Amino acid sequence: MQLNFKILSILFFAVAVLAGCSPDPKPNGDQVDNYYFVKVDNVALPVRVCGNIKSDVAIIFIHGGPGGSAQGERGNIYWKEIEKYYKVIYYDQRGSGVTQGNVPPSEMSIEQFSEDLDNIVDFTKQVAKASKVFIHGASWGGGLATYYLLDTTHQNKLKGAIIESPAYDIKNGAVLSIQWMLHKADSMIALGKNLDYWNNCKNYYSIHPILTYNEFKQHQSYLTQVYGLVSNGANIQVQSISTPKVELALGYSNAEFAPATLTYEGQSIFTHLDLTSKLNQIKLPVMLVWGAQDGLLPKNNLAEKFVTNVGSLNLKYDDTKYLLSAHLPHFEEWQQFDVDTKAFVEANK
Amino acid sequence: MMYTLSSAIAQDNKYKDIIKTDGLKNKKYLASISGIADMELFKPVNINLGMSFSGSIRLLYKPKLNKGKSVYSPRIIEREIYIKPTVGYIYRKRYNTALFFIPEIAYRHTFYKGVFLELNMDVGYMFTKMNAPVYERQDDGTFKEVFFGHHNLMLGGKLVAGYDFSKNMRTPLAINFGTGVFYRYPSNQKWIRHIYAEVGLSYVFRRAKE
Repeated sequence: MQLNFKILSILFFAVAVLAGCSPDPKPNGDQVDNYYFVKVDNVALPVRVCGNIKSDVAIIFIHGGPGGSAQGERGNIYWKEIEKYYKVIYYDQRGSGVTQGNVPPSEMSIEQFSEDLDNIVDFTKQVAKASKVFIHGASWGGGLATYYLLDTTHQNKLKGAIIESPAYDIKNGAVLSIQWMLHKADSMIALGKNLDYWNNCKNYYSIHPILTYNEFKQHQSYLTQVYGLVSNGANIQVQSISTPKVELALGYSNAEFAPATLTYEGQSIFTHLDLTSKLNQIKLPVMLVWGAQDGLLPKNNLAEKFVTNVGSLNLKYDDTKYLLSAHLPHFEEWQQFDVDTKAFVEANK
Repeated sequence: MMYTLSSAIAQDNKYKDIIKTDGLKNKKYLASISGIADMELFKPVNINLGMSFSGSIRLLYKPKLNKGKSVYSPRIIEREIYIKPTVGYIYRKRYNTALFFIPEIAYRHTFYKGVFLELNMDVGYMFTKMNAPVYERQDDGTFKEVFFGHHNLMLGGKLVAGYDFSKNMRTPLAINFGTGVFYRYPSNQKWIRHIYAEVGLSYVFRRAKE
């Protein structure tokens, strides 16, 4: 009997030790790496606070998608330099990434997402102890950031906004993206490359002239093949990071759920989101970045329209930069982006 | 007439190899401890560990006598149905700790040498508690740390193989390993799938009384 208890004890402690312990890499020196959740209603938004612990400047990164995640974002080498100087807040949006909870489709609206972001901004000031807050929204995150900035109260909480290839006008952006794609398909056909495939591609758009959630995946697949999302993968550099031990199945599930349910004024964002007429309400300092090779939200027309309509007198935008990037310049031309972000933050903090 | 006779013989033979347990109450309970490895098979492969504790109460027992080499070494196969109240947890760093309770139903088939196979059906409750400080904005705009988690329904099953030392030896232990799948609900009105492996050790209480 005593032997049996010994066996049981050994097994118990062996399993307990294995289950309870796995080392968490400690941040270097003056760096912070803390993990939190911000509860909004019945949802727990995962929030990671990284970067320079002494800095009172924070940049909140707003991920794309919709339905994407900020959990792996920190792996992009761009953030390594930014975290040396500032705090960076990575969070996952409602019904996206690895955000836990049971969100009814009625809560999947840009209006609710904006309210969630406002919680994150306040959290950053109070809990992450950063009094000077900037937001950086990329792609769909840029659209959400733009919507958030339409409220003057929200603008007053921030020092500035970095808006990267923003999905502020998906309604017209989708039409432009299809035109961009058809032009590329014609180029491939003219070069005699994979004729059947590219003719099928053109046929697909003649059957589906309007881009909705249902066509979004196929559209992205076509764009990828003509480098419309990433212009040159060799320019992207990543660093190894620790990530929370999440349910990956949840991430895949949310990647479908968010785009299928997200609305603006009660209608699908794919067919109804257009904030152009409201851009003049944005008065705070803005840095706009757009990749010249972007096929998902083509720079021509969209960038110009943003610049023309935005109300900010302090707009930083250089049309001659990011010529080698497609949809996400902070991936592909991260060195230039690092320089520009630091200059923008230092000038407006 | 021939038909009636042959069916009577068949009926007579049908239960001849079942051990008669007239007047004998043969009871068996198990107390088990198991290590769980919840595995994410998508890349990057991610393994989260946990433990479960269960007590097995035998509800039905139907032993079967197979022919041995000699009448002095009978080969008894045990066929049992258990109810297994199980509590446990799965720890996911910086994400959540899933605490669960499952009143499992299990069918166990133990071969005469002590090797067994077990099929479990699980319907239970899971509470997923956040594994990092949770803050909530209050009406006055300040943030307060709160306790927070989600209630889930669990549905699944597992297949387990093992060896019951108590069957032929006098050591009241059994070991087992197996794999299973469970789904938790709701997550945005969807079921989230989990695949896991389990290794366990059981203390076996056997009791025969008139």
